[in-house]
Amino acid sequence: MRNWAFIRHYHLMLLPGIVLLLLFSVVPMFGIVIAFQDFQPTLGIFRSQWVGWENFEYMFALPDSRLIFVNTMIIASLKIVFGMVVPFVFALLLHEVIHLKFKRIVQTVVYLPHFMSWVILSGILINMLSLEGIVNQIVQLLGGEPILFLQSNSWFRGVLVASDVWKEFGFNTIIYIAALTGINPHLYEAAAIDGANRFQRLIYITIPGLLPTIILLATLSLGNVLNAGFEQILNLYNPIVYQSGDIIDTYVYRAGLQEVQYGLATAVGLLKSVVSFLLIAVSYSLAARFANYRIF
Amino acid sequence: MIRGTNRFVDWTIYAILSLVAFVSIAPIINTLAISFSGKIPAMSGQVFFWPVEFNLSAYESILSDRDFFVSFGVSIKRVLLGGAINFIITVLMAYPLSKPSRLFPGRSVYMWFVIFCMLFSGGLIPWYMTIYSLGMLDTIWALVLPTAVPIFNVILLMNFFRGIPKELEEAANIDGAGPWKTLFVVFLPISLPSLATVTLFSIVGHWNAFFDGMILMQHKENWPLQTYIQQLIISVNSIMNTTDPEEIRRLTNMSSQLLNSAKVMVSMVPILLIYPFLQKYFVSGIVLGAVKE
Amino acid sequence: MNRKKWLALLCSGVLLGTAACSGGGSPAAGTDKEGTDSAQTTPANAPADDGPFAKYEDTVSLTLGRQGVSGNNLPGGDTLENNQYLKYVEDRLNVDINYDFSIEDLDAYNQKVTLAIVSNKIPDVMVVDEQQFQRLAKANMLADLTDVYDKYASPLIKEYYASYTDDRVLNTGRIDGKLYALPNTNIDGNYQLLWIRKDWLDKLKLETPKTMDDVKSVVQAFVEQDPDGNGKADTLGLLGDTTVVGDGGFFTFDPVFNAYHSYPKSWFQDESGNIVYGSTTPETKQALGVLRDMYAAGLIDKEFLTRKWEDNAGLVSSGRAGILFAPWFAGWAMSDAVKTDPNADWVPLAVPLDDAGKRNIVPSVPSGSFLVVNKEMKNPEAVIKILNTEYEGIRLLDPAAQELYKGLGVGWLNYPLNLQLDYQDSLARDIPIYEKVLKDKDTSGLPERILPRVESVLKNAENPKQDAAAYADSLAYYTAAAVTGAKELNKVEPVFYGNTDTMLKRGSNLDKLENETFLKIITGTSPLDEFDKFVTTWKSIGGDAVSKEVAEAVKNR
Repeated sequence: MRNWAFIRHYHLMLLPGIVLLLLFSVVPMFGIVIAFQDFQPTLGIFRSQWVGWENFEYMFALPDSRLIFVNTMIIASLKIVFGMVVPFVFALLLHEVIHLKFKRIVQTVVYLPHFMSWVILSGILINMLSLEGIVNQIVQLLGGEPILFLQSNSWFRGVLVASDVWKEFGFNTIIYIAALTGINPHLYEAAAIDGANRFQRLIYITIPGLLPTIILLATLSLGNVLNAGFEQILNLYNPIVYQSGDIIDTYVYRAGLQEVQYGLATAVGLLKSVVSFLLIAVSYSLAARFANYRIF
Repeated sequence: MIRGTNRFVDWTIYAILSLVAFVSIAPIINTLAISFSGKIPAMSGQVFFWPVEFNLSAYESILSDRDFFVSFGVSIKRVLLGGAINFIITVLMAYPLSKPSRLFPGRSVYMWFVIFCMLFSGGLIPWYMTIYSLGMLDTIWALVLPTAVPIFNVILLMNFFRGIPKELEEAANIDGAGPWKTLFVVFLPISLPSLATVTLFSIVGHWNAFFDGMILMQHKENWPLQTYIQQLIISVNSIMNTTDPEEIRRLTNMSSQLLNSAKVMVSMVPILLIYPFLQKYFVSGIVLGAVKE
Repeated sequence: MNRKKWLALLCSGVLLGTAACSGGGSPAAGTDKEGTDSAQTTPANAPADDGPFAKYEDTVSLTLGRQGVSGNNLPGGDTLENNQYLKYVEDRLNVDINYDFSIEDLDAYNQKVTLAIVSNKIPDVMVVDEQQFQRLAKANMLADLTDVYDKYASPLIKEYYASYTDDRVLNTGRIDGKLYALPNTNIDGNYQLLWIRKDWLDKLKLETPKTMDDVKSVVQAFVEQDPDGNGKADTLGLLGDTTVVGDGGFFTFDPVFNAYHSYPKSWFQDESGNIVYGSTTPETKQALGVLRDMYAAGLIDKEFLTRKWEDNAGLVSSGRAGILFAPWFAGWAMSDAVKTDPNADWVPLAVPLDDAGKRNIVPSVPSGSFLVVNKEMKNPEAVIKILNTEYEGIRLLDPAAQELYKGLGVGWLNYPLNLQLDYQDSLARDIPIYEKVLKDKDTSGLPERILPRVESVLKNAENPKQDAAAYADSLAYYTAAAVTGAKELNKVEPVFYGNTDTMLKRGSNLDKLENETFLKIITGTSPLDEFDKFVTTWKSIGGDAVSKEVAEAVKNR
């Protein structure tokens, strides 16, 4: 039963949002042509010379390109794995708690870092990880040599992943906790009557109950393997750790705004967008097919 | 309930959870303790979770720091204006998009358009040029309009709206309520947890953004607080390319770990203030909006 | 320095100042006395619309983009974009200066300039670095200033530029013989001195260091022997900066390189006539090896990579660092240490010396920042006139300007154009003045511009270190400035300054490679032999092309 009068109002409601999207998302998209140009500011995008795939060829010839793609994938994958495992374990532990007040306090505390910006958290981290910082004080108390975490290519990725987990794990437990509450309590009762101990209940009821959620999250995170965390890395890195920590987004930012290689920057950015788009399309269709999940 | 059969396991779980919770918040406590400590202990790493040589000098000097408060004000303005715009746009878009294509034939076209905008971007420079040519550089609009459509929030609220029983809407329609009235009188009042969640997200998003402020604001007075802090604490290149004597004298008196810690703490205050109120909603808000089986 | 010469120059400076004032019409004392001001603006001998200081009949508006002032200390709600200095210039010339952007952080400022260039919307006036200047000129976005400079630049400004041998400063602003930018002037003596805590040396009974080995053993003693006597091993070694080497830079290691006859970032001709880039020589490798060993031994601050300038300054003022390299004007930062420790006694030295007992230096590049004017701007001469007027104020030649923020120590950077200009030998020429005044205690007859400093020097001589500002001034302008003229100096003149085509295109990648390699070698992330790989890579990704272009440029001179 379509109601045409209603539909007109639906269009009207969508109008402001769509206009804003056109203005601030679609119009700038035409700037992608810079990737195929020898862009000259005085000529603008309409009169600059077209150079075809030259910027892309230059990109593939640069030794840095391989490095930033590899770094991006490694950092992002590590973040995805730890970003799923840690909250999963934490949610299981939290699920075992009966004391409601304790549960709420723990949740409140661990959600908090999610709401802090990377600027703030990086400021805190830089302090903490300095030689005089609390982490190295503890390392020294335990008899270790102080470590320059942010200037070491062997530690830097670890710092990125650990601090990302710190910021997000609490928040990511929410989805597991929701799934846990969705498990039928009668299953536990029945298992208890059958004499299953706590560990067996975990193995035979809880984990299977969470499996669809895990698969779903894993599938959806496929779309993120090229997002290694721009704001975090921009605020934490320095030239010494480019080797292990420079990612596509930070490279594009530097090439475009600091080294003034607009064509190259746009080309790298475009490649990333396209690959990401494909990955997300694949992951969403997988999710729709196997988990019967539709996000929109 | 039938848990807690094994005391030892219980205590272990409680201990692990407490430890993890403590570790999550320890950096913030450490920063808080440093901000209340004396200059020498703060710089030489003697402060753990309790101030050493307690004093308020850092906070006193913030009080006289005009730039800090100007930026704080910009951020507050941005959150209020940007949050309001986000809220209106989110509600207005989520409602029609929550209708099935059967009732709203254009829906999937809109939906694909929105998703496309979420996933693709033209890159930094064209984005900057667009905002420039709209004459919005250095204005608050540059901070709130390009981010006016929070697509993730729209999807969250849309999914929540979809879960509202059809009967409610039909009953309202029979009473003669049009789509606007249905939205405001029927949908919004029962969507409080989701509305609180998307509001929290957009407030936090606006409060935490630093990058657009850095690119789009041409004068320091227009920087939001996060941009100010980013430039103050994290950016390493503050010295000029001209070697200028006077600059030296002033820079010498600037920035210390102590003061930075205090600024970090003060910048957290607004989030800490709204967090407890909205926290009780957002877990249910997210769960209802995101998990659909 | 010849005494007669400085006296002559000094007099001419004073005369120039007064002549310029009367020539252009001197404004009334206050900036707010608009009425009386306009009554005497137009002197009979100069046409209203001409001359270096002539006031415009109709207000001329212009937009400006420049780096802001970190930690600005303007009183009472005044800002960079609204203050008495700015108003003084605006009122005297009837111009209206609007800031398009003014960002303090250098990276952020460079981003603003880049974005302005890329969107083809540059302000009327900007102060940019050399690469940006060349890029703007290439893109044909800049006004030709040749004629307006000749016609409108005040005698003082011209005098400043003329004081540099072979017109080398102004030449950096010229492209194909046309003047597209007014460069700043890097005065003589901006090279790094070794600053050291004399009180710590005395406490540990150490000699003043001379050679690099002396420096190393002093640093070692500072790190290990608790020079501050607080019972904790909390004193750091040599401070450092991520740029590693830099003309007139703070905390950079240039003197170490120089002591081994290595001159990174400069171009030379070797004995066989080949053009050599200083960063790629075997001597540079040797110097890097020394720095690397020092870092490994804990003689260089382990955390220099993540320290900001202010962090290092904090280490100085809190008494945790006692040895570093910095130019003479670091005196202001060093003097801060007495606040925490009244016994702190930073002294500047022209060391380390090389094997022949010389302190080798590379004279500063002539200029590092460039005042450029948008091609579209209607009144390019207004920019020159602003600069003229500004320098009448900065040098206190105009009595009205002497009243602005009197005694408040407000920096000249709050004038609209942050372009630093001075005589090539401006440091050396003042030293005899201080010496004379210290002897006769007589300040009469000295030019206005130098009085505040002379008073500082006198004040500090009477009560050493009691007055922070006087101590700072005295330490920089007098003590350190005198050291910059040390007899051990050996100037190593480069054959080429500036940029070539390939440098503009690939320069950022080359510099990045160099800086990263140096940092990695020093901090031990890469082996020392990584240097050889760097030289090969550097050559292949553009270094060879650059060398060829430089050789060409040298040959064509």
